[in-house]
Amino acid sequence: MAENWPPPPSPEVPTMNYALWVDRVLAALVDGGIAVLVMFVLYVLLFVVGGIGSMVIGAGEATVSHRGEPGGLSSLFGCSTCCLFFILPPVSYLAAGLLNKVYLVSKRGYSVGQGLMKLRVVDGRGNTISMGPAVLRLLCTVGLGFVPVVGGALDLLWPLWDPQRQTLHDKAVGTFVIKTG
Amino acid sequence: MFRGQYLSTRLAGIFLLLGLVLLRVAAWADANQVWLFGRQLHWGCWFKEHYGFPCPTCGMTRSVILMMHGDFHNAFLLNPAGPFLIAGLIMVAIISLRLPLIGLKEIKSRQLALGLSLYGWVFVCVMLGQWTFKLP
Repeated sequence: MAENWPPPPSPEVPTMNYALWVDRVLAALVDGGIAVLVMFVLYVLLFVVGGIGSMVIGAGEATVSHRGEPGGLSSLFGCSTCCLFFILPPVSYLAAGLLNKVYLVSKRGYSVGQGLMKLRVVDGRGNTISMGPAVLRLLCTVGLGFVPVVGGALDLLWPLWDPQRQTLHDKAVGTFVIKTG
Repeated sequence: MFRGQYLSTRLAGIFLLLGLVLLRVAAWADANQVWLFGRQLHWGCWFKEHYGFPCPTCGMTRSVILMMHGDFHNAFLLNPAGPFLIAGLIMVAIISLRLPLIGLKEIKSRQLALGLSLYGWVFVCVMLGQWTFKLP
């Protein structure tokens, strides 16, 4: 008798059309472009503040390096291993992400880049995520970016082998990115 | 379905360890200078030249290289974030390789994600924290 009964309904996660890795990378490139714009603004601001600072500290004192090379703009854009290239990208991503990855994603479900690629960030039930998980998701993305060599690379490549095509920052908060169009 | 995931994380661990070994072999430093493949590097810090005090990452290259050569004391003095970084990267490599020697079991990807991002933030806090002590 029992084997004739229909199977009990399982609390299934709704079927989702998980976004392709290529689409996610393209969306990330667009969102990254916004962060680059913010970084450029911060870079210029730092240069202006530095210029004013050098004028206040001493006229021309800081515009010539200790090796006798010209300072100012050339020294700023010529620096190679300075903190600018370590600190500025994540800070810019964080600043741009507060609008693009937190506000927009929690309000409408997708960032600028994801909107262009017709992607949507959802939770396990297929709903748009709220502000809290969106903030945690952004913090995880930036935190992974702070881990040299492996953090960002693993985060970027994880959807390639993940069955639900989640990145590591998706794993951290239990979100999924789906294709809507 | 997990085979590719484990293979990739193992590869990440192997590449990370190889990178650290390469750094150990190819680079050398003392408290003031850095040599790469026997050639001295002349890197300066724009921030330090401009403002007169070090930036948060000043001493990081020397600290990391000294740490790779086992000189923990000088590495810590130059920038405490250097030893923290190397220790973290070695730990990440070990977790990635999941060495059976220490009996590590499968690390769930959620824990890995949260752990790695937390480590990233702590790393930055260490770097900024030590910087505040160096500020004039």
